[in-house]
Amino acid sequence: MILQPITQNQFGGYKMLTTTSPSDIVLEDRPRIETIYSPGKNYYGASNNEPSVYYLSSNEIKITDDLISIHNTEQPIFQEYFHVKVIENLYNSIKNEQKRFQEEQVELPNQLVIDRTCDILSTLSNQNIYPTLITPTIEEGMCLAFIKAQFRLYFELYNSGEVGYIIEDAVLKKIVKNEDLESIEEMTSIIEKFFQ
Amino acid sequence: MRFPKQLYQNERKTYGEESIHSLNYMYARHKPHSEWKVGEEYPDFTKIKSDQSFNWSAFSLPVWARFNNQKVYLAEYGVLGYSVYTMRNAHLFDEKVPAIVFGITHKTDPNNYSHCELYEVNNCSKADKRAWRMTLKHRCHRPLLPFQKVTFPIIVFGFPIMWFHRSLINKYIKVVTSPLLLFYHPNFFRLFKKH
Repeated sequence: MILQPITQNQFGGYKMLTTTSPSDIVLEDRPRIETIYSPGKNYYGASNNEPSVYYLSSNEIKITDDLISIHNTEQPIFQEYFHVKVIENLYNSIKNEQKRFQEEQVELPNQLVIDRTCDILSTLSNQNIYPTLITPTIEEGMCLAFIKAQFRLYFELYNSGEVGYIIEDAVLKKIVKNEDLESIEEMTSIIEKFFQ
Repeated sequence: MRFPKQLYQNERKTYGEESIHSLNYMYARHKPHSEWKVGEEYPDFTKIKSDQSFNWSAFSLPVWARFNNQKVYLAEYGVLGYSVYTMRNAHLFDEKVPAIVFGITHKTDPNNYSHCELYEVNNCSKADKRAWRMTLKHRCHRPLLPFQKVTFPIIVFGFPIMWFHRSLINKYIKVVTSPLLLFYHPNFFRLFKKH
């Protein structure tokens, strides 16, 4: 499956072509799904707990063995599916860590952090960007991780209200950048720059 | 696995920070799946705590780090070893890490004589802690992966290593072995590279 860039498209993403070989995936640095339609399956095939095409900010795209073709449908419907999914992931990750964090006497993300994370995810969702990982951090807050090739960007939103990020080169095992941010609004521009 | 008697405190003394040699290791357990995904090389950075508890290599085998405070053996956990040299000199490995972020203190527990904790040396910002945690992730070694079974050789060879680490508490042995720390310095081998 080859992703070809669309330059004039209002969504600015890539278009997926049909293929008989799901393993022939050539992923660009920032793959995006415009829309998907899986023949013979429910439009929301991914919600049936079967491997289907979905998008994350890393190269994690799983494809069914069926032929998949693309056609334009209404963007908000498709986008909303992933937006709901990513918010679900947020709450599930907190629920999954609850017991262990209590044992370790670590605070779970507070309401401020959860609200801020939801806002960020909504903003990113409008640009079709979703984190690879959403998880409570052991430093008491929430972490969003994004992957691009060997680089990994971790955003940490702390219960104290502070926000910061760190970028690592996972191959060279070095820190590329590490900063605390003044405001939450800077996050989206940093994430966009990370994918450029 | 049975809880080892060697981990009981038994009224043994607590050592000062100066007794913790930079050649020692600190072992920490990490939970599979949520902390350390199966198949991944290292645990998730978000689960490496800056004030983590450790087992000191002078009084613990890596596998003993799988015992919790209630003496329950958590066989599925992975164990990482963090070099004390790296903890004290993380800034040498990455210029983004500030110098002297954390110290290590031997804080014994009735069921874990090897228990150590970190403490903040200076007022650290969140950025400092992130950099330090990431350097630890990059520089750790992995004596036990999640779900890895402990075999007889792991236990048998672990004891001489532990006794060697314990011998480093002795101040004379400490002085004699200190030059070995040169090998840990990130720039040491560059001296021998041809220009």
